[in-house]
Amino acid sequence: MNRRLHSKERISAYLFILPAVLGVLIFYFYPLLISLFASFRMWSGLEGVFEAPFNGVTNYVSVLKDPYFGQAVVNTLFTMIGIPIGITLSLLLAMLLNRGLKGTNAFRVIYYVPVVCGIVGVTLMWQNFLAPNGPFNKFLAFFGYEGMDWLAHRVWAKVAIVVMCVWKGLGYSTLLYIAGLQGIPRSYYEAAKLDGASGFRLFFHITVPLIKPVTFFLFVTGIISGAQLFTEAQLILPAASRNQNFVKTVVLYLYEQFGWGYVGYASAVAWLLALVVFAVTGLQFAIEGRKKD
Amino acid sequence: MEAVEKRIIKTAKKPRNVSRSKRAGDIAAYVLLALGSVLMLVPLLWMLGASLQPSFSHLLVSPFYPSGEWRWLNYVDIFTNAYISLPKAFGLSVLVAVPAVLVGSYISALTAFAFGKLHFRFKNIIFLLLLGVLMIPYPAIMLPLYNLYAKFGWIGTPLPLIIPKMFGNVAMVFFLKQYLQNVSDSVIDSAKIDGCGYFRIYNSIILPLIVPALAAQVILWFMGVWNEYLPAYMYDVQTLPIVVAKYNSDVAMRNEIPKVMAASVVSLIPVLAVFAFFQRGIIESVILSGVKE
Amino acid sequence: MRRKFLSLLLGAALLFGTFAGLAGCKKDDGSITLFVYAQAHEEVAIRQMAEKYKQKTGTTVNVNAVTAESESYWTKLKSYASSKSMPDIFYMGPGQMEYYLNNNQILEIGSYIEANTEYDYEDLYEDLRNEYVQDGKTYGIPGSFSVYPMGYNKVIIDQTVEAGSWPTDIPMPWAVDPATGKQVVYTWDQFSRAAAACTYGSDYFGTGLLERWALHSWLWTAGADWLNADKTKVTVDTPEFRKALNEFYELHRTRGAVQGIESESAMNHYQRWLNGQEAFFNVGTWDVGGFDKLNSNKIQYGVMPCPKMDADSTWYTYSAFLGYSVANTSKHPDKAVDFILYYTTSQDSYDVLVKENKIILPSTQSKRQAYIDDPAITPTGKELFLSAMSEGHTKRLPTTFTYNSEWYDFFYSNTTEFWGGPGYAPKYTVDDFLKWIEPEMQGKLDRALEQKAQDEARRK
Repeated sequence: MNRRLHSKERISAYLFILPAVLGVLIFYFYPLLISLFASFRMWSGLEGVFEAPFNGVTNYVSVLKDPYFGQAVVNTLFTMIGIPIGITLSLLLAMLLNRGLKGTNAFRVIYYVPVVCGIVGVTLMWQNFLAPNGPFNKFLAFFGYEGMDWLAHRVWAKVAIVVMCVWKGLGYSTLLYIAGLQGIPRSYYEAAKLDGASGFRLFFHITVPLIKPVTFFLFVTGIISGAQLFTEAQLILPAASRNQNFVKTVVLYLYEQFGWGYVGYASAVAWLLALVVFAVTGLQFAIEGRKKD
Repeated sequence: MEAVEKRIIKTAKKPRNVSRSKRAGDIAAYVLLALGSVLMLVPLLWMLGASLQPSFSHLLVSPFYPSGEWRWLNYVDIFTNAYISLPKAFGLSVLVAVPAVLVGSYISALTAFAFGKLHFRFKNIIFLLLLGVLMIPYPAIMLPLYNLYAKFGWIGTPLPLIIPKMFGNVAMVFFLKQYLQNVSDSVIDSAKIDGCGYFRIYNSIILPLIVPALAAQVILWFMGVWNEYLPAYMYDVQTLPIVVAKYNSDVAMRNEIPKVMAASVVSLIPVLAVFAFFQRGIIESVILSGVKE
Repeated sequence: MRRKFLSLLLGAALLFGTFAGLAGCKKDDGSITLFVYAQAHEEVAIRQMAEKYKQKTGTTVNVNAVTAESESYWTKLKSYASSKSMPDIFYMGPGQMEYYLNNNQILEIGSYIEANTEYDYEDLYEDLRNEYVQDGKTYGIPGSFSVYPMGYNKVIIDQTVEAGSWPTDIPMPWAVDPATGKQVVYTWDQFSRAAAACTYGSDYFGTGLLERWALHSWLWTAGADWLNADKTKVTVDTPEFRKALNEFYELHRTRGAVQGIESESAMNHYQRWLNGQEAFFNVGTWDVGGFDKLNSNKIQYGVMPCPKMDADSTWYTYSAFLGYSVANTSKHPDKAVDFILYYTTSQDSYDVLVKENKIILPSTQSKRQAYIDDPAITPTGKELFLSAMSEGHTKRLPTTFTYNSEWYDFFYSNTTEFWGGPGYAPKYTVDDFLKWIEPEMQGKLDRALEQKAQDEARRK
């Protein structure tokens, strides 16, 4: 009886997880494997990947040797300066929101609004917000500063993406910090206060160390999603702009190669990106594992 | 959900002794929070204002608020003009988001139930396999997926955005599995004694129990799918974000910024409405699960 | 127990039913499918034609239109090819044809055309027809062509003449040149002086062109070209190319034909042209429908030839063709050909597509005069659209000859290096730019040639 019950349970369980397992195999692991094979071949994408001629590590070598790939990497890394900025701002914000003030919930909602907004609408909005005659320059002019065509500038165009990403992501990281701050027992602060510690010391000696898991999580997820930046960079510049190179990220570079029919080469770019993401995730596991020991 | 509520109640309690310096700090906090809120909302409000402007030149005169003649004509225009088939795109976005998220969530919860409550061999290994998906960057698999969908004849249809999601969402499985730890095994055991099959247990006991947690996840996922850009762009699905971005590049030469802003507003309205309606649940769920979309 | 399995079965059936439904078999009901890309207003006109055709013949034509950018049409068509589900009729450009021929997707339709007695295939311009003929075999029927001549805004020119600042030695752009009996063709020198004269106040610009589309006219009239004859070598670092690009650069920077760079970035030139603030700007055949709606107090436009280098040279602009091909797998090639001929040569075609909706130019010889004589069809000087091609003033875009456009895109994505921009000085002069970019472009073209050779080798 018992054995029958158990086998019934097993069969049900396997049936229940079947769709998810199938989905993961078909839509994640299979394509990941195919793109690995493709990255060693000269593939234009339409025939079967194994019909395409094998060309060893040529794709990888050419990718790494291409100065425009290097530029794409630099541009992508540049946009990541938003990560520490966003983290710092959201920690401060979370502390303000964690004082038990009245209206805290309203503020949380307000700061979260940009997070839920679709990236396309938001990017188009920023594009026009920063236009030569846009409200931002009007605002500067009000204080007597002369604005410029920010998005036509090699560096400012990238800064615009950073600002936009910080603006859009602030609410999310703030929420995580609020959760983290709530996990710190009040008694720690009270004990330290009895010892005469200043607010400054409380912050650096209690809050920052105890909140480290959240910070770490935000850093890691920030790097992983920052490495895949696409939509923001594709849409931030006006469509007619001749300066798309200024904001070309790794994934935009990849997409471009795909569009020209170099799918094998683009797969090599994809795998380089995947390796970076795997490495960062692996590092996260390693560090978290060490902490537990 | 009970756990969440307890947490809210706990944080709502404030220490009673309000010192003078605390009050000064509170005021400073309010000022900072208010300033920050302005920075969060001004770009969005400007977008709304700009979308009501009759033309670009009006935009130059009064960038922050519509001058004299308030106009809804831009909205009428974008729903009717020939350059953007907004109603069609809107319909397609609903068609993509609703069935995919509903079926996908049902399957995810079923999978989570199997992993959280049932006993079967290789459970942990299979679960790790599923989790592995979370670290695969999308750009690394989208090229072979393109090829696969092309073989199916799916390119240009909404299917690439719908079918894969119906196999479940790993992040949701992970979260719901954690959540199910709060559900006592005895509920299941007594149902088993009553002779219920596992599928019936899932449908009539587990599902109602996890509905609060599930609902928030469903909403978050819906918002994520609604805003999805890269896959839709890649597989040429004319969802709302794609059509709005395309409209922007079509009329970019004509500087019809107000209409582009109107289209962007339209693309944001559904998620903002959902957010306004469920903001409390959404924010608590993000705090609890760390899942953004 | 049974119930559980029933529910499971149901779930599984639902899931896989979706798949099965996708693969689902199409029933042959005698209808044909037309696959095109079109702006939404063009789609309306195309559907009108399909409707009329159905009334006439009883054959249903299912119109499947990609309203997104043309690139997504081509990717979609490729995906149809790879899933072996080609539509009966689809848009085909001469440049793209090779790929589909290599893949054995296009039907040879010569015999069907011959068998068709209803419509006159020979009425289509021979040059257009020949774009789809290879080794005496016909793989498509031309549907439309477009050209990109210059345009002028008469309102601004009249104002300039009134103010007395129009150079007296330059004829009006709409005038007829007594020497040739045709509309005048400006030389570079005349064009830049005329444009400079029309630049006044802070709002009026003589010109300001979109380099990606306008530059070709400057290159070709100077005898320059992007590629050598067999399309394997990039030839941008040549004296002719240098001369043309320098002239184009000077026109926008030093001739006083454009206001300062600051005011240039405030609004793009296309917008200025629409606002009636720019005297000379290119007018594409596809623009005409939209331009009709503009404020005629500010803009009354006509078309004119693009400027030529000097009195002895020829003017050029680019042209693009689109025609219709029939899939090898079509079950009704006869109907498909009949519909294409109806669509391109019939009186309905002229009434609906050319006259009412203005989405194409007439591509039949018999309608040429009717089009020119019809006062209801804008713009002034519209016969230039037709004569530009029939008199040999057009060439094709260089990317129609190459496997992909990487080498060419690279040129335009780097022109900032000599134009300069806010916050940075130009890195190169025009000459140094060309010297630097030619080997870069060549490398990318070589890459395309290599991939193309690979693809072809595999197919054989």
